[in-house]
Amino acid sequence: MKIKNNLCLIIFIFALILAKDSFSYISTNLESVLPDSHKKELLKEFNQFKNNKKLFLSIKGFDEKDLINIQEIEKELLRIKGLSLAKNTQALKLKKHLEDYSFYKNTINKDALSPININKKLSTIKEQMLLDPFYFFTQERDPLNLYAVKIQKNVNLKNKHLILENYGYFSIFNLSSSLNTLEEYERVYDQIHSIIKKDTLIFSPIFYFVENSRIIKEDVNKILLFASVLLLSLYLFILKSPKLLFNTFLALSSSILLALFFTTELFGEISIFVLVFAVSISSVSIDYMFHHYMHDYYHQKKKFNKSVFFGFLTSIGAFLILSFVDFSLLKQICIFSALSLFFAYLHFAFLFPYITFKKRTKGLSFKQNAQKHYLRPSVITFFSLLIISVSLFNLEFDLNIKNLDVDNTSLDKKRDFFAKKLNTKEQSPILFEASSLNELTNIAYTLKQSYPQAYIPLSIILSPQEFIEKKIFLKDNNLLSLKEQVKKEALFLGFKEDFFSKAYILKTEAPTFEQNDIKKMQLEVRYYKNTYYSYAYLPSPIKKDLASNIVYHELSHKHLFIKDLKRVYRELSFLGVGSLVFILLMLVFTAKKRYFIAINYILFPLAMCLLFSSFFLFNILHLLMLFIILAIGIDFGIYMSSKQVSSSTKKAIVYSLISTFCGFGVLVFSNITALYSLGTVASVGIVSILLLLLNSKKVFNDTEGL
Amino acid sequence: MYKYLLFFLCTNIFSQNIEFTQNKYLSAFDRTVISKGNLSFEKNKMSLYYENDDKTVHLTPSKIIISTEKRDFIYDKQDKIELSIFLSLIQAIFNDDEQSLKKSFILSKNSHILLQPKEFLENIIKKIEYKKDGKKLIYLNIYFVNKNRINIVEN
Repeated sequence: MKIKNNLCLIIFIFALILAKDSFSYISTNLESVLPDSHKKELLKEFNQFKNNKKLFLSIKGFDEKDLINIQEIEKELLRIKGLSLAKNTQALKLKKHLEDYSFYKNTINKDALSPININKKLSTIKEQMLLDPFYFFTQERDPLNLYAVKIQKNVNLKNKHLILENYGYFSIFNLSSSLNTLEEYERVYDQIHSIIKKDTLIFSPIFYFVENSRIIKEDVNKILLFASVLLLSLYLFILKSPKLLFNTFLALSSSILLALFFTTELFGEISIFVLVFAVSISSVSIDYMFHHYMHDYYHQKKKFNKSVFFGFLTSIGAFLILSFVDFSLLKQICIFSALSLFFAYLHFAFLFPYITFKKRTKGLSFKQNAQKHYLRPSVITFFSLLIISVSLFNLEFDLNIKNLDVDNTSLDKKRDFFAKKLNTKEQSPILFEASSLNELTNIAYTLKQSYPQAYIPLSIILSPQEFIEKKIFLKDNNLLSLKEQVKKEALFLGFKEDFFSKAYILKTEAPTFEQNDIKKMQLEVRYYKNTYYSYAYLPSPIKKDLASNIVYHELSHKHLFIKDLKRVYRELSFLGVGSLVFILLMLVFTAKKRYFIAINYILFPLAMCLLFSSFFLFNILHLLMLFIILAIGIDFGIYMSSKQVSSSTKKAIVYSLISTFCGFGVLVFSNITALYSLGTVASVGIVSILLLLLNSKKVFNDTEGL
Repeated sequence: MYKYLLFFLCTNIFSQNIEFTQNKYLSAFDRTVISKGNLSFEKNKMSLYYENDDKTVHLTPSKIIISTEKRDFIYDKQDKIELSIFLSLIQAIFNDDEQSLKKSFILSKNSHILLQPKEFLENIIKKIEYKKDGKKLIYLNIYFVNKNRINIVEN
């Protein structure tokens, strides 16, 4: 007897032990919810580049105290493990390459080319060296001043310290490449923020991971707490039996934990949004208890409750059909929901009848006349179909996946500030690829030719293509023998023979690159799935007429996933229609003659949600929730079209609706678009179902039980 | 009148003049050029001139000013980067400003102070050695990558 009564507790403890490690696989990163694709992998590769591991620091003002202030902060920050000051150094191998090919690599100042009076230039140098006491550094690599000087205008120096024009002192730090996990980012973030003062401007791309994760966690905790308190209070009010409430709570928790365990086992990492959804979906699972309880299945020996079973089967079937969508977040939500519903159903349908519960006090009974309606069901069906057809034409999908993420405006402002000051605000990152390193360097060169102002780290080296072009240029301008001429003239003027030996070196072999060379040069290239990748920041919007041989990927979330998202919308719509067909087929078996009553529980919420969607961009989670509402709504359709519609059925339905509304409705209080979207569609859908119930006359009169 | 007198006194009290001899070895010609120079330090300004040269170069916190008999030429430090490096180095050594030196050099102390250049300076300068006795500069040797050398001794 005792064991029977504690079955839920035993299962709960078992589920808790099983799922205890699953919580560590819950992720707050947007990446975990992005559609699984090659692009997602590319984004991960891009995030590994050193360029994304920078930290910018700036202090307003150019006074001496400001300089001392920034120097002190630098000193403190350098104590943090994984942080180092960015230096203007080149790897030895790169330096050697640039020296070897300096004649090719440097931009030749055409003004200095004609007329080249080598003798005159060298004589001036000689005179300066011997007679000008202020002449300290000789340009022995470029005595004729042929190489055009490239001035980087975005960053300047003052008192030998970096400054941002018209703002103040500035520092750039590198974050170690070994910093890769959220825990390490959080450690660095917290240590940095314990050092800096309020007037210091500081930004790093890794701050997004930390801040967004914390914003999400805070929001999720708020929603979870709010939903849990609301639902528990509601159930206590409805059930009035602490024992039943306690067991229901254990059953729902066990279902969530077991679903969590299997989902994490299946996916490895799941989004924190799934956890929030867990609480919301439990408000649907509890319906199975309401219906069994209200129909006295827990006190009397009764046969199997077919309505609840069909309701459960339809919902779980719809979720399973939707789970075929190729988008991690949606897949996770569907699988999780199906599992959670499955375990909850097992509890409420098979376990609870064995536990002894106090007999419920009967509410007011009333005459059975359930099929009378204020508005005829066929009229509702007609108007619903009309609204659906009109709304479908106006439906506009949101293709920017970033809109689902946290809107971290304070960090965006800091990012934009530094981007503006460093002249990168109007630039967009791209990833370009090639099957060989030589080809990759050629692409970097071609891009630099098209966008001279662009930041393309790989274009620093001489590509084989550039070598060929420069060689032709040097030949056309009679520069191939320049080195010999300088040497001859220098000797004539009394310079030592080898003094200009490093000037205008003419290598005749084209450069070639191996993976090892690039590594030694410390250049930003990654090798992934037999392809080499590097990145560039090009002026945005990026011209669509980039050379046809260049394979590149725009790296903004919007551009990167626009195709994937379109595909997911198509897939989800297809699967949604599939689940709708499945629901309709189930209705044929269950509702039979009362088909119109039942079908309205799909069509009317669908029409209302689509009508509601005409006012804003419809995102992927709106669409998912729309189908979920249909899967949930059909339960009510099945119960209401059941032959034995009693006051208990309606009461159970109203209770279910209120709890579902509390479970999903609280999501509208979320500041995260993803959760808010689920909440809005759910609320509209549930209110629509409630309106349908109110249309049934007897429910309207049966208020005592509530 | 008193104001001018006070100004004259102050500028002379706070300014410091150093005379030195510079031996510049030019490897290109295997020759050493000797010049005598004068450094003067005022608040926020250092000036350098050489005997038998018509220029005086002034280093201020943000500018380089080249004064000739006819006119002054004012440059941003970035526009006269080599001169700026040299003058800033001299200023830091004379003022014992190790903090500034450490920004561009690795500093090690022995019987003399050794400066090894960091970052882009290592393309030009091989090393620097100097020794001071209190405020007085005993010697300063700058070794360039192109085998040139500069030796400065305070007179």
